[in-house]
Amino acid sequence: MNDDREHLESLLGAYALDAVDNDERAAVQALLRVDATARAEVDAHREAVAGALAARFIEVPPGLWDRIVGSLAVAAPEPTGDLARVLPISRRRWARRVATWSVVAAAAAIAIIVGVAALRDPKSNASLAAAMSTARGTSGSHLAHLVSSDGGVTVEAVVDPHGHGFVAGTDLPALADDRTYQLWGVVGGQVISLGVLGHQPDVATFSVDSAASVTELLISNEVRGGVPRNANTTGLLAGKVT
Amino acid sequence: MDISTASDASLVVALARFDQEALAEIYRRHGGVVFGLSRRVLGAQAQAEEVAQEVFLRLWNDPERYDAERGSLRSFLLTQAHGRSVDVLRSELARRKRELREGAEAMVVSDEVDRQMIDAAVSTQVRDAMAVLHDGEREAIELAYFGGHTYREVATMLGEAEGTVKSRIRAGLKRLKTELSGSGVTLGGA
Repeated sequence: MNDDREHLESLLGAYALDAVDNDERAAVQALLRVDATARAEVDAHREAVAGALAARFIEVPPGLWDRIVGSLAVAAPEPTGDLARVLPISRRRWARRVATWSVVAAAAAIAIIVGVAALRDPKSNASLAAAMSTARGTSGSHLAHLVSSDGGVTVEAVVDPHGHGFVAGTDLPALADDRTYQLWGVVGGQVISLGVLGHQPDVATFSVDSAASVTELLISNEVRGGVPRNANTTGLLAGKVT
Repeated sequence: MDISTASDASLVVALARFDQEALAEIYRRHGGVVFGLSRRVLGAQAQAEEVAQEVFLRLWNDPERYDAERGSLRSFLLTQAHGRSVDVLRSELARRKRELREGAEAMVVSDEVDRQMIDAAVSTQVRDAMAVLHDGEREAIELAYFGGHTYREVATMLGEAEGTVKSRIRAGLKRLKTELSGSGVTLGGA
């Protein structure tokens, strides 16, 4: 077992460069699914190469952007029963996503999008914090203070009149790499996933149809990638939207 | 949202709302390096354009595939571009080798041609960035990354043991990361 693991670890550099054969690629991918340290190493290798290439910018041929635009579906699709794209960051492609879409479909009139600030980008966090502060001071905005059951942790959330929301997760204790915080909203009596916040969140954004549509916000502790349904409405932290 | 100062992660979130301006900004920031990498791997502008188009179209259609916790958007896009470029390159090389005459002499010639193509493809600009690597590390990484070769093929081309090539690639990448971190090279937009 150790020899196999050592062999797979020895392939991580080559794997990051797409320089392994198909059997080895499959074996490394199996390792990466369960080994956060190995994933981090592969990510670091790819960042290093990207950084080396970033040393110089390269001109693109004229017309390439026009070709890209020409191949886009320019208009947003008409609303269907499955509705808008949910964007929980840190989510992996697995069967749960089918169930997640079903949960979103239950709130058919609402387009819900969640974004998480780039955790490694201080500039982004500062921008979102400033935007949240602006929303807090905007007339017609709604506030929520999500409090843990023991009262020890409080998280502030703001939803502006246009339905743009912010949640400041800075005070949430960091979770293990295989866990994530997940944001939920009570909409029309139903608990709807608003997306995952990551294991060590800062300021996150989300959108709802309107500030008045969400009556309560919840944050729960879930497996990495999130879950399609909240088992109960109490959550880890909860707060009414006022 | 001020597009010009928004983070890459925020721009990707905006793609979920079919914000074409966000895609345009992502293209402005990263289109050059995505196309440049494909061009260097493939050695052909038309194919490189097609790969770059595929990369940005995939991002538009599936923005949720990008995980900001895993790394920068540039690294994600370059991984997509490189993987696709290598697929195209290997298909093309396989086709060329099938068309060559059978025999060891033809294979040796083919490998030498590959190395010459790679030498021509890897510009001085990228070589400068790779200058921190030891010779064996740089050669292995360049052949693997820009040549689209597996480490086994690189070992054959260099006449080295497979384990040696694997180690050099891994050690070289770690050295590159250390050097870039020390020189303050940052990735991502805004």
